[in-house]
Amino acid sequence: MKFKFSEIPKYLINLFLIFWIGFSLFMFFWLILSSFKTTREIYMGVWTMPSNISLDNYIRVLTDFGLLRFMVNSLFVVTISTVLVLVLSAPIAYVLSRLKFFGSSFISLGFIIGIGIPIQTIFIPLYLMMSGMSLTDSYLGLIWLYTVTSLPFTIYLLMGFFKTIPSTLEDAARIDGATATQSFLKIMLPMARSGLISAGIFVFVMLWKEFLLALVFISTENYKTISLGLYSLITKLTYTGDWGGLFAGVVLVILPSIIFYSILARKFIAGLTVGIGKG
Amino acid sequence: MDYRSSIFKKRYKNFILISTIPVVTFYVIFMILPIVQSLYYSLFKWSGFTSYKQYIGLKNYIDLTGDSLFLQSVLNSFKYVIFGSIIIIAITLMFTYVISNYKSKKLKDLVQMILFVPNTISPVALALLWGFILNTRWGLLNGVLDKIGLDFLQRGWLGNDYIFGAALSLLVWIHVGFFIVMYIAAADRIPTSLYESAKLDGASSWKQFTKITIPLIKDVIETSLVLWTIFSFKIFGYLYVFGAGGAGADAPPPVRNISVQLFLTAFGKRTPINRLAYASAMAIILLILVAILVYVIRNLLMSAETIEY
Repeated sequence: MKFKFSEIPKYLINLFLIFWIGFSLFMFFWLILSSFKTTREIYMGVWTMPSNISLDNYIRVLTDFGLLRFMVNSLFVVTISTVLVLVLSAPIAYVLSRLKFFGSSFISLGFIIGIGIPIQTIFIPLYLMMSGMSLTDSYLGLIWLYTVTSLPFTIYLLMGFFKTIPSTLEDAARIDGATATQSFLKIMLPMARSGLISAGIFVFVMLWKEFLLALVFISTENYKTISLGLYSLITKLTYTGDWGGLFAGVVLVILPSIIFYSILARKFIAGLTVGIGKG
Repeated sequence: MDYRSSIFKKRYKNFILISTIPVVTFYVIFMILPIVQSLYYSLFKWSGFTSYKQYIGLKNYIDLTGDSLFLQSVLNSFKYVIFGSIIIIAITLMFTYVISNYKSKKLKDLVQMILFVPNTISPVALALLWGFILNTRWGLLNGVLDKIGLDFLQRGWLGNDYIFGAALSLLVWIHVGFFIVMYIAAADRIPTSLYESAKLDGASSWKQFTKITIPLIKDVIETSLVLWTIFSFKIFGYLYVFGAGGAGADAPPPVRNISVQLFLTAFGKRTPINRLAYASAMAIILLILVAILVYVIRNLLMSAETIEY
């Protein structure tokens, strides 16, 4: 490519972008390398290499400190919540995006406003409500909360998606006398499959990294999710000065997310930008 | 199609009722009603754990105006809004400029995906990672500065002087990746014919970006500003964990936004405060501030006319 004076901003910004990504990758590489170091080696500075590659840090964190248990908890709670959110959101999103009935635009608006409600403004009443029903420190309580707080955004996302599906097939089915249930199950759901998968992946990832609700509603080791579990490791491991273990813990939390994301990134981004593409 | 015509109405009625009523009820009970309850609790003197509540009217709100920790957290929230939005939107726009000019679709997707990665990771892990990087004694940043001979730039990044900037840098690193996806998606929908005619007129790529791309993705830039404003007030995990600096202590005041201060007041473990009613008043202020800011920004920026192309 020929050098053009007017294109200087482009070269400079590209350089900055390369630096940005390079730094991110380098950081990640350093994190993994450090997770094999002993705490003594970490103290000796950034450029010290681990003396021997052993999985001690990892094994200690996974078993003695229960990170494995936290991961299983998260997998259980998040999977069930994601399925529930989709099952509850898809029909209402379909109805709100396709049919006009008394109150439909009011309900849509209600959900859109719900996206902006900070959890912090409702977690105190929720806490009192849930502890009144003995649902704090339980899988059920967390699933419940994850489901309800994910509803507004998922419904919004799916409404956008349903709107992009042409209505000709549906109209034909209606004229042939199909009920709403039939056209939803037999026509819309199959056509919306990719949208549902994108939304599902999105909800799963968001709930997998959720921290605040878990922090408020879970205090027993048995029910801790991955984010909360890692948080509780901070206190335990820094009191004993076990930084190596903490590095390993961070890697163990980050790595599965990155792997999951890199496999499904395209779907994920599609879910996120479904409303923007329409113009 | 008019779904209100009587033939269809009957056939659709049950489906509409079954799909909406339970979800809407569930949503109202667990997300809307609690806002009203928060408002109600905020009028009492109450720890939350006794049955006795004393009605004190607006006293909690009056006390908040003299609570220096709370006021600092409000100020910090605004600092995150202002500095964060300027830095994040500037960087995101610059990246949009170069990435949207990539010829290869694969490269374009790859770069976006890499930038987005932090958004998929637990805030606890990222906050810890950032703490490792900025650790004064053995952190990556000071280590690199030392190696490349810039050791005079080494700082105690997690000390009170720098910790706000350190926390902000974490948020910037994460959210540029979030907004870039939105910006690129918006830039991609602009018809190429516009750029082609600009190219014929001899406009540089920078000129094309500022004269065509930015005006045409203005709506998304404005949306990102609104979103960032909401984030600045409600972001919790990154700040709560990052500030703790690894010792399991509470996040220090310079990094706290309203959310963190609110949590510590209601459920803080280190100093068990457990003032649920007082914290509810903070929650109401948080909600009002977010609502006002979003309203103001939308009205200031959103032009009634949308650009057609």
